[in-house]
Amino acid sequence: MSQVNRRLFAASVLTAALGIAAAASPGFAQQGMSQDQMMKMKQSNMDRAKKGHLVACYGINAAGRNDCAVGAHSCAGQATQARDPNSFVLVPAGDCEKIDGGKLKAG
Amino acid sequence: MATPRAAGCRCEATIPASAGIGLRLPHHQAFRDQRPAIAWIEAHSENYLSGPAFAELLAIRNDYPVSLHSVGLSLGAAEGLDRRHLARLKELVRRIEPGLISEHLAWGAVDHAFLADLLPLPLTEESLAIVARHVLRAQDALGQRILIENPATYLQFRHSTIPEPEFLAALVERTGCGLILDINNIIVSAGNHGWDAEAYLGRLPRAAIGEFHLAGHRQRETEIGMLRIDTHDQPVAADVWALFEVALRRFGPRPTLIEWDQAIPSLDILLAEAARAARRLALLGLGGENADAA
Amino acid sequence: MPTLHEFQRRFRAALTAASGDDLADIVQGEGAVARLAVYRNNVLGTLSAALGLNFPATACLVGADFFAAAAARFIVASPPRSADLHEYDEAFPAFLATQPGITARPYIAAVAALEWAVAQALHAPLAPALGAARLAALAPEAQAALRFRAHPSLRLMTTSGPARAIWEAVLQPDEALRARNLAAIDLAAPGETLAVLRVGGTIALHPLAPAAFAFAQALADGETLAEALARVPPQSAAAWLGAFLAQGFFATASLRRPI
Repeated sequence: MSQVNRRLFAASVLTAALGIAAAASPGFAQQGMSQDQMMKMKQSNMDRAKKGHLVACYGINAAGRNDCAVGAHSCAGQATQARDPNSFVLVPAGDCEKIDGGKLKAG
Repeated sequence: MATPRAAGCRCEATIPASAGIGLRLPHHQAFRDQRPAIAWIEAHSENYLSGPAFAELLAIRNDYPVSLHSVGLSLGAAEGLDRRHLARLKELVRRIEPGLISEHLAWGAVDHAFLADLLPLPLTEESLAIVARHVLRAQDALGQRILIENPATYLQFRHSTIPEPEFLAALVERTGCGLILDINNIIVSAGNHGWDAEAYLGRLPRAAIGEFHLAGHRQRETEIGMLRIDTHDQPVAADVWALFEVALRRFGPRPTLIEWDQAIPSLDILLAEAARAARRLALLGLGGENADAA
Repeated sequence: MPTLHEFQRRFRAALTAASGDDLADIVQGEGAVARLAVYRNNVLGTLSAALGLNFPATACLVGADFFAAAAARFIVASPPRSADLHEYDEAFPAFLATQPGITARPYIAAVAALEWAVAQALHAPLAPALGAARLAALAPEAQAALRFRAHPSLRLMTTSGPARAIWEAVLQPDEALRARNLAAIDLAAPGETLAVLRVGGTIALHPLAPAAFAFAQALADGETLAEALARVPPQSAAAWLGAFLAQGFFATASLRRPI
């Protein structure tokens, strides 16, 4: 493709893409619409519970991970600390068991 | 409820000599919706470097003066300050326009490993030189005086040569910094090391005190007896209130923060604690300066 | 007498109980072990909690005990490099992949790698998505020379195996649905080329065809539109670019070269 054709092709792609984007989310045509606003048009009630759960899992609203307090874990007994993490081996035992039935794959 | 402001208009930065509370993530929505009647708030800087949290602090800042309290600068680190962290704090300060900025007498980093705690400093001439150098650098970068908070400590070092209040006084003299007097930390450290808490107060430079902190702590039975642990997960204890009253008589009123970081209670409970502090500020804060002149 | 630097190195090593050093010779008075234990517990507790907040799906997959043990090893081997614990830590997925019990379950490390992208997307700065009006008004030569800048939360990554399906299944709040979806996971499913971004306060994951992924990467890397189009099947270009724009992949576009 020549330089001129390359430019014209790019411009036509962008024009078509802008049309597609506007059709996909009508508010897109507005300058600088926030993602939040765009999302609101599509979000259903069912999503809201899932979103809240996700946000909580990653500590977005609930946990200050950088704090100056000594946490309650410092009131934990000596026993936890004395245990050498390298001195024993644990096997994963959570939701992975629902996936692979608790069986280790060979290798 | 605090008076709502005109859109885009930010309230002034100055922190008044009244009771404030720590801004905590679970309360952001309540702050936006209810505009609680509290005079000022303090935020842990490192919790507000991420995008969504920063955006929320920026919005809340329109209605409340903000104090920025940092835990990650590691002023006592022999290897020097983390440049990137200082730059991020500088940007946060520029955007938020805090009325106060503060850090701790502690260290947390060595060999570029950040250990996520306020670790104890041996109090020596070498430490003093290092901390002073870093305080000067931080004040220069951030463009204002910072307040240094007395730490809660669980051990002391045999090779320390300077008692903690004298160390803080020397730091003030060398750098022009101010102090946060954490009343709870004095009670915790005094309990752990056998200090006289009131005597500790008496050895601090009055003019440097810029803020009081009040918080809760726990006691834990160990093989050496009771250790006090600075947990920030309780109401303020009776002996802390008592020492606070002594401090008010000695130093006069200062911005006073209720610091409750773990097992965070409802906003109403925090505001009630702040009200207890406010009552004492009102009753005992007056006359502090007069006592000074006598 | 140790220098402050020597002391701090020693203290760091002593934070690991396994080191056997309780600093008894430099600590004043009695009870060095009990006193040091407060700091040991606090460092371990704070950093474990931070890891748990950045890798919650991984923690669900391996269970609390295993996660705590792996975290404790990681904290010793690889403490934070930054005082902002939202950034702890990019190296955790690769570390996890070396742990006993995980080597035979590579999908767990793959989910952890996806989680890292998710966590960083959640913490990224806020920015409005690129609006259409300005772009449409440009002359064709300018449109061809446009360089897009990715939204701060956009992460383009390749997953191995069904990491996305597992991540979605584990974080499903409805118990029955979660169990069903977990049981239905096909571990032999291929990996994906994925766009991760934060939209409306939550996470959107967009699996992309490899060529669409390469197109998005080229644009996000700052190539001009004309340059990036050179690698795209012409008949797909407009649809793909339209989808990227609609989904908020880009925050700004300019004619200037990136620095």
